[in-house]
Amino acid sequence: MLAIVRRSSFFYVTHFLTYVMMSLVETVAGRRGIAVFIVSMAFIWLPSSVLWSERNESYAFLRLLPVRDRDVVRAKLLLGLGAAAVYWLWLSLLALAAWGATPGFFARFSLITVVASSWPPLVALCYMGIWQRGARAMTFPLLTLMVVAFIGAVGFGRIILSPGRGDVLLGRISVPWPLLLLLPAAGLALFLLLARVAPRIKWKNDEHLQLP
Amino acid sequence: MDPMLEARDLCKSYEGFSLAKVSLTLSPGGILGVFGPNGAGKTTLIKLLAGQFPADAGDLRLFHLGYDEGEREIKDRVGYCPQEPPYYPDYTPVELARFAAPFYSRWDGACFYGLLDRFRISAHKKFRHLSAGQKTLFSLSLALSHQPDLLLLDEPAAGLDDANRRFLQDTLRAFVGGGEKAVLISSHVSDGLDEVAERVLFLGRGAPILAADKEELLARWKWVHFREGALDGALAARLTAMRHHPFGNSGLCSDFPAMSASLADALAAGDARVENARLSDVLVHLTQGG
Repeated sequence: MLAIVRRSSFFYVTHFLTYVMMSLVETVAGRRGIAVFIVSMAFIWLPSSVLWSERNESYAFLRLLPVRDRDVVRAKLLLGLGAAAVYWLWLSLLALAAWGATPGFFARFSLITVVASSWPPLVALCYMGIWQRGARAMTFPLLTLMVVAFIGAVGFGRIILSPGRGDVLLGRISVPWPLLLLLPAAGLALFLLLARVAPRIKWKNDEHLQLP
Repeated sequence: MDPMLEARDLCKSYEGFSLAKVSLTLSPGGILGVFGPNGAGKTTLIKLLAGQFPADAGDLRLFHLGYDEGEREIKDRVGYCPQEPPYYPDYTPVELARFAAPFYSRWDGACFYGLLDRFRISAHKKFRHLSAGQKTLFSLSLALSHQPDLLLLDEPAAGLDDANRRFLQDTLRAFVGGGEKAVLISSHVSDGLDEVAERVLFLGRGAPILAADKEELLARWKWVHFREGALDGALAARLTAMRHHPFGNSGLCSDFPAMSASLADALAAGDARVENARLSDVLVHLTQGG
């Protein structure tokens, strides 16, 4: 299973490192809001990592190996979940570095956590879409999703971007603390639910791909 | 001896094709050849046996296990070479082996590198840049390197030169030589792998046509060449695939032991002679009537 994670993680790692570099450059240059904005675009990077790693996958090869289909699914989904967690952690650390332990940081951390709650199910849905329809067929829908996400990220970025206006906006939409626990828990629960359905979807599609 | 592979009434249907009620068994020490024309269902059958997809109906057990209960255990003991090698095209043979090795309990790296060396496959050339024959040989190297008990080979001789084809034949004979392992190959008989098969299964249009011991089969099927009028009409009518030549006729006899007494006079007079049929003659006749 580790071999599958290692191979599939190539695009996750390269995507993440690229944007870490960009955000660090921006932070060092003093444009701390821009840095947070860049990292907030995980809506683009996560589907993109899933898409490119799956476009380079060969399930016909994996089916030759003594590994159960559900273990392959589990490896892929755990990788996606791990990536979502890494993005959340990096975004939070960056916000902490930019704002310190101030109310400005807590407001941004709340918003980041709320938004990040949707990433695990988003990753699972991307995988399921690809297993259902194939990576090539899903390229256009996922690229469309990324464009929509980019527009959304611009809006999200604007909120947390400026220290003055952002603080005012975030103060108005402050997230109650129970929601900070409930939303990630709901995101994880939805992810686990999708993870239960995913092997069946993959198996059906896989069989279709294997037929001569 | 306990069979390694038992398939009973396997069926699989998909758009435009159906494989119907194929049964076979394979015991240690055996080489079974599955032969048939294009589109006969050889690849579908071998994919079913290799657990690439489930059968719609029928029962399949390898090493007394079904895929639903022991997929990992079965695949750990089976070396499967698909017709189209599906490996990562941007990996080198060494990288592919490194990826595959941890999945197997009996991976033998020395065996793998020995085979790469024997087949003159560059260890550091990307898989996509290997020739068609080298891809097949790499697939075989990978399948042999985890010390399988059963080899399932789908048209393994395709794209091989004569020397490698001969080596493949020798490898398969050596593989089953100890009497503990078995091989199932699907092939066109013209590939030369019919030479190593001890038993044959002919498929045509998704259905089994004939299953037999190869030597027994070839003892029954003979070409009878005879001068015009040398055989009486009833005897000649028992021959099939009749061909007319300027110097006489040839017909295929499907049960020579039963017919030999009737032919004795013509054979003694030199008006007829008998020649061994090839497996391909039998297959073509049974599948296409020619």
